[in-house]
Amino acid sequence: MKTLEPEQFLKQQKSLSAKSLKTSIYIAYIAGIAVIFQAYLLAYIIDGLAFKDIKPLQITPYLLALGAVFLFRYVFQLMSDNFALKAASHIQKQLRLSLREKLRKLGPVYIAQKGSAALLSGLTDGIDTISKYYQIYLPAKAMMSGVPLCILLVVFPLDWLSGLIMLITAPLIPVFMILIGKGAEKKNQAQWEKLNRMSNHFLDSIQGLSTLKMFGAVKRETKELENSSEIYRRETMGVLRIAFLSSVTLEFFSTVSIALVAVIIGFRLMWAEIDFFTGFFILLLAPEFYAPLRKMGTAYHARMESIGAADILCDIDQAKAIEPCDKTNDVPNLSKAVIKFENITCSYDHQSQKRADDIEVKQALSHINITINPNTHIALIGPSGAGKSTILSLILRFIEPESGEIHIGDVNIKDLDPVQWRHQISWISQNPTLFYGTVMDNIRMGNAAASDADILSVCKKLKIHDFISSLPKGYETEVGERGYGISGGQLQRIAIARAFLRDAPIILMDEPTASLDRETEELIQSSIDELSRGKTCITIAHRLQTIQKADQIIYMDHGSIIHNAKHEDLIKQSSEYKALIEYELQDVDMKERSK
Amino acid sequence: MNELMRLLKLFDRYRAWIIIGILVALCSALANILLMGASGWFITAMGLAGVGGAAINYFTPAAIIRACAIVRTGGRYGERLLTHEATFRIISRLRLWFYSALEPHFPAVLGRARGGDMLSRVRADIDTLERFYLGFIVPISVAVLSSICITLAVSFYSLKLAVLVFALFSIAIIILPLWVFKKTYQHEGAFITDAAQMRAQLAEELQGAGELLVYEHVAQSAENNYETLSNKLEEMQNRVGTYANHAQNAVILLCGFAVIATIYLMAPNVEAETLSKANLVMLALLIFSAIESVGGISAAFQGLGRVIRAAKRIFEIVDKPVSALNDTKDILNSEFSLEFRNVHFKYNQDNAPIFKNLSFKLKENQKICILGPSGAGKSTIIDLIFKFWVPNEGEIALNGEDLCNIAHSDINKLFSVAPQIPYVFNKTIKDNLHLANPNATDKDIDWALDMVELLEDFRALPKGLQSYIGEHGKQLSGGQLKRLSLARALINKDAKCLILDEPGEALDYKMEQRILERIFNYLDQNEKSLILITHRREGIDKTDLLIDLSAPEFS
Repeated sequence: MKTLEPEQFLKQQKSLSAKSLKTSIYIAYIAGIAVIFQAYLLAYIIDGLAFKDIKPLQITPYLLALGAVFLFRYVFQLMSDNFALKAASHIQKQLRLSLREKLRKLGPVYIAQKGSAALLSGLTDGIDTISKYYQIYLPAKAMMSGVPLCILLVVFPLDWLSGLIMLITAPLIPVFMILIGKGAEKKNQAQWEKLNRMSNHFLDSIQGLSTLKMFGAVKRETKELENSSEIYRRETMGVLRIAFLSSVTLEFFSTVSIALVAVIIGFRLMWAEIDFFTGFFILLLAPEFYAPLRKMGTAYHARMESIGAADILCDIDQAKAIEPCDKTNDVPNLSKAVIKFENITCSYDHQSQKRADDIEVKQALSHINITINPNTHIALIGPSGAGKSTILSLILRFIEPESGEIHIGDVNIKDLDPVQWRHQISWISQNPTLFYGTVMDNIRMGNAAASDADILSVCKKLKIHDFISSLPKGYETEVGERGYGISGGQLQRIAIARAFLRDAPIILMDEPTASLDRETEELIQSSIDELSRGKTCITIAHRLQTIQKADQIIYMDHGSIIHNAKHEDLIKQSSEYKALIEYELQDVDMKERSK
Repeated sequence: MNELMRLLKLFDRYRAWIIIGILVALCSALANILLMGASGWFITAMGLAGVGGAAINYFTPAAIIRACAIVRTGGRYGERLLTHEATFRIISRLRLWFYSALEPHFPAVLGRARGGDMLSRVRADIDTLERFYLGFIVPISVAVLSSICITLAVSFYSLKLAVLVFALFSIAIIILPLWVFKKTYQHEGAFITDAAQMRAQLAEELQGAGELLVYEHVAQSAENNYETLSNKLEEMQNRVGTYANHAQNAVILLCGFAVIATIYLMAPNVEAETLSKANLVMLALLIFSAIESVGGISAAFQGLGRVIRAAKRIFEIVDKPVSALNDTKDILNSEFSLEFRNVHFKYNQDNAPIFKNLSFKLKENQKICILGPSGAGKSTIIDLIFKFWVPNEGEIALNGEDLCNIAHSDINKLFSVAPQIPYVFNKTIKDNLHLANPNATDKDIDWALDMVELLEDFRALPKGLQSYIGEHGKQLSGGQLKRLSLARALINKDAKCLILDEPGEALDYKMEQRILERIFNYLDQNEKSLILITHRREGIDKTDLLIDLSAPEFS
């Protein structure tokens, strides 16, 4: 897959608002060219007053015309800026919507890899930042190529010497900036990274403040923060001393050129080689000639910042989501089809292998073979990190295996439409999420076609109808992050209702580890038992009952299957399993006592 | 505005740096303005000399022009160096100030929630405040000072003109910026709750990404909500941006007005020969470029609202009252004991109590096990011991003295903790361990890592114990992280009491058994106490006391 650089990504987005961006730049050109008329009129007026001995009253119409040019420039520049603004905010909105959509498609594995905090800040603050690219950098770049050229075309016929000074110095500016900036650029970037690292260090120290307090290490950490920022300051200033030279070059050439033009024109005026109008006109144009070049200095910063922010946005955009394939097959009859894992190897986060300090490449599964017969109950057990949840992720197609194949009946899972396939699954995650919306909305997610009556009957069956009715607005109560707070146990039960409503042939479940109060747990258990009767059910089991009742137990460790058997056989075969069961029994025992 | 004054006070110790930076920036701005004025004078005078054939001293003005060019260039360089130097000092100052001010409130300030959102907001806020100097103080000071200089200079030629220039400057650096600030502040204010809602919805969707794939029929209301909010955000951006564009471009009008008015007002003086022609040109160009150079600041005021809001939030955190400390009792020489007497605790008034009537007494060389399902408040006990929270009722005594009267630094010396969710720092393995005991020798470190079966793992790494473990220990597995935290608790050998919160979590039970056995032996040999917090039974038969928090008398 070809990867896109963040800047290319930013450029690509121009098409979202191409018309506004183009209009903005055209209008800016017009406003830029109006500067020439402005200078012309001003030169004309001053020439008239100083050399042609025109009476003050006679110049009034020219002053009014000059006023009109200023007004014209104001209106056009404003229009241009507003078009750029409109384009930027439109691009931003489209990205907010489309990247959110893309993230949904990419699913939980991608999100876990990138870190939800980084993604969240990318989609909010990051998108805020990139507006500068469209509002500042692009217009400045366009102006730099257009306006100075027009001015040069006016100046040359009037006075070739001044034109020559401008023509020679203008390209010198970028050349020298590049020459000086080349080394500094890299260092500059390294310095930005360091600044970021320093900020991270600061945040790290805040996040870990409790820990530091517990170990009495706050003073030491403060000292360290102070030292690191001091070192950073000294290093950065060393780099900046050189990096700023490039902006000084820009400043130097533009200022000295203006001064040179002024002095040369002055002497030629004294020698009467040119007339005052021409000389003054050119003098007025000189700063306007260099202005767009100088503006690039700030615009360059805007560009760097935007590119930095676009990094993660580009990554989201470029990441490959599991898309429906061309030859979509119908989902086989799942009451008969066997789910088969054939030599599956799977690892997360391929990028991390490149990192120099990487301690461990996480291989989630290696060469796994599993056969799951229809209508059986499977319990997945083993220590955390053994690869149990990867199995569920593979079935749910949150992740693709690195090698090996998964077959549903005689169809490769890859040849199924992922949306249709997932419809065959009721999934209960370990920490279910309630989304923005009402309780009713959240349950209906399981089956969009369900009527209110269906939902009510499911809730009654699950014995959560009374609880929901007791909420401030019953089923219409808003839940989710900002909604009504409900306890973990109730949340679990609403999530089970959501799954129940779907009535799918396959059930995947990650049992909650956090121990709930006994009553809730029993209620949940009995609901699940009812839900899963006569269906294929794969559970990451933490409860002894679930393990004992399973038709097949898959004991995993370090991404491999250690045992795959029934409880009765396993307890004889494996001392490890026996110990584990005894250990779990203690847990049950403890709960028993605390009842 | 009070917030801004307070912010300025924080920067007070770098006053010299700040002022020098501003002055150099002023010189460079004035040189640029003067360059245009002097050039205008020069060529007009030269032109007149050319026409009239009169002799003229062109050395002085030519020298002034050259000088302006040099001051402008050099000044720009000096300004950037000086202001950046000041900025870095301010960054460092601001961060350390905030850090020290935050410390006494931590972690209570986060509330019961994880507070991750609050922390990222703090970071963004501090970033915003750091730009206050370079983005506001410098340009505003330079604009004000240079407009005063120019007004004074103009008043030498014409008072009438000076009054006009003063009025134009007032519009450019007071009225327009304040207008932009007021408008943007209002609009952004109206949008803040919407933006928070949008962020929260996004956070929710990231968290429940799996469920969204499986149950993709999201309520239409949620879809609509996000889209409505995006549209609103776009509209707000357009509005606020339009105000800024208006203000920024109004400078063109002001410049135009200034030039026209100068010529219009002064032309009669030129005719009456009370003002030379060259001076007229000089004044026109001087005023033009002066207004152009100060006009840019109104756009900066678009961001002032953000600075004020950030400052408010930061000061709000810092200003939370700290209970007066009376922590003078010296307890380090007494025998170790920890006693909870009828302790009641809830996080806030509305919540149900986490536990009540909790009483126990732990003595030197004793071990206590605190059992209970998650959510029963086991970890809260640690927060209470370290005085992160204060019990609602009852009291806690350490070495026989009320905890209220004991300094944090003494509590730190008595206990060493391996928390349930360990926090590790983005440093090397070694540095993470040194954190708990800066005097630990390499031998101590090897011992501690060996106790938790990590030494060989870590030694096998290319950089050994000098390996960086990444943000939040990203480079380590969950089990390694947990064990590193255990090692960190162990290495603090001076502690009288070890607190292990769910030590077996993320470990396989055999390893848990081995590690706990080693730790128990170590504690026995060194006559240290232990608080073992767990929901599993591993190790509890070896403890002297057992508290089951799920028992009815505590809840």
